[in-house]
Amino acid sequence: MGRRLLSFWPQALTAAALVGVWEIDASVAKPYWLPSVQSVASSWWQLAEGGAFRVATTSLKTLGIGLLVVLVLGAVLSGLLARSRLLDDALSPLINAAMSTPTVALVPVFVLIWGYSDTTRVIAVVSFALFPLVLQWVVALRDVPADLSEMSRSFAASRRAYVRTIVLPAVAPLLLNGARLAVVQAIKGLITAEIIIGVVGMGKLIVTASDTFDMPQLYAVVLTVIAASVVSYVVLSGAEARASRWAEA
Amino acid sequence: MTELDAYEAQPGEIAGLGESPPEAEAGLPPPRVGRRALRRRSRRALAVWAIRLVAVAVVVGIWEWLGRRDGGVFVAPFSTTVRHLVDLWRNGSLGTAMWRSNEALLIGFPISAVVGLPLGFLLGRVRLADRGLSYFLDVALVIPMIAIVPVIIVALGLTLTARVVVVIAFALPIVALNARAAVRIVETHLIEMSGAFGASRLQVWRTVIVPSSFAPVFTGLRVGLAHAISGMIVIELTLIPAGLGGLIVQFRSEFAAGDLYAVTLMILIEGLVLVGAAHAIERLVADRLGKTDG
Repeated sequence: MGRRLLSFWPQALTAAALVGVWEIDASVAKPYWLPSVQSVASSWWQLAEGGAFRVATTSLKTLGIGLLVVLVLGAVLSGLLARSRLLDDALSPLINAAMSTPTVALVPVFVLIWGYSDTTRVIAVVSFALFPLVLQWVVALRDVPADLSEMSRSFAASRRAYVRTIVLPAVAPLLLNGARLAVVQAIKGLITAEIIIGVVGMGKLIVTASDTFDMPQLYAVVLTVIAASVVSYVVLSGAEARASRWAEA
Repeated sequence: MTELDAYEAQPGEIAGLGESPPEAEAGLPPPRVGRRALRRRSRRALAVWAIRLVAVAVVVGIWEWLGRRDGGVFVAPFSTTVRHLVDLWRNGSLGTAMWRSNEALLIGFPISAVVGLPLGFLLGRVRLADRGLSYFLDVALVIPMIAIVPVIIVALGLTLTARVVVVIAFALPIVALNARAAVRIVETHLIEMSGAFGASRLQVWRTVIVPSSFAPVFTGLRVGLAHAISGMIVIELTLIPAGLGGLIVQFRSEFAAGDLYAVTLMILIEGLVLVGAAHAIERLVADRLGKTDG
């Protein structure tokens, strides 16, 4: 374990250098937009003690609902596209094209229709995460090796055995990869909606801090958001790596 | 491999993934194409386009129907949206706003390319730099970049510079990571072979690395362009009401649904046109490169 940690020394070095430069710049040059590391840390502590991060639960709830919708819709759509080559050829380019448009621009429209409600944020999450998930899952579902499924049929494997031994190992890693992508996109959609709305969840904390020029608080909240998204990404990557190992075994 | 390193396998983002799998078109060219096969293929192309048309028509139809049912207060029907789009274009407010918005893109995207590509090449070839720095780019791609927009605005004020910096923050990571992936997947045996034939470093770059990494690099630029457009809109929507985003903020507060939908549609169209054009250029150059290779 220690060995493994030690092998991360280049990353640790650059991260330390970044914090070092930040601290020196903040304490020597004192630009008004860069608070010192300590002030950010103490501001974070204050926020945490004062229960300000409790708004994160509403954010997380919205994220959960949105992801659920995305997974269900994504399963249906990708199932359809993976089944029919014709549908896939016809619709996947459209989905790709839709993904090249800036989804952010739709958020004000959602706000106009649904106001500052949870629905707006759920829709934003869905609009950010659905299409990338569908494209990835179509690839995953098509990835069942044909020769293996034929073999299992000729050995008269039961449906359950077929799914467990052939289908799952073949598709699980890619399915999880798609899910990870969806989570990343969902977090982006959620935070985007919250910042544009400006009165709910973590977005509210960010907007309030920046409106009042409370730099330590702004940095504390932004770093929290960044940390949360990186952690969720790393956790999901771990799950994916485990799934690939299981699939290969 | 760090955990974040595994990022390379995401569709639509990195190098070629997420496009339709190439084996569909390139893998199995039938040796002799009979007339019947040709007819079958053209019938299939017809079906593909018919489904596409139907899909678009359904979306536009539902939009129109929802708008009519709603009376155009919250959902402006498609027809109204188009009318407002034409009006806004005619009276010049849309053109002015587009120009103002695109200033940031016009400056920011080339900078992302000029800085991002060499950075990516460096990270792809120099192991130590890669381990020390690449995870910053991975993180930049994973986090909601909009969260740092307020920080940038406080630091730089409500200026063009701030908007350019946001465009770069959105576009540069994906451009650099694709360039990195591109020079990494160059087959090492080609490099070794050219080394064995006494090619200089410069020659290896010019004759092996650059040509074979072209496609993923260009994909990175195209996706980067899409991200850059997002960045351009994001900052205008959040805190600097300028350009197109400014119009959106204004129309939203006036509850002018038709105008709001028109500007939104315009932004989507701009994304489609610019990224579509990039895609077309990419295909053109790739075709030409493929020809000189074979």
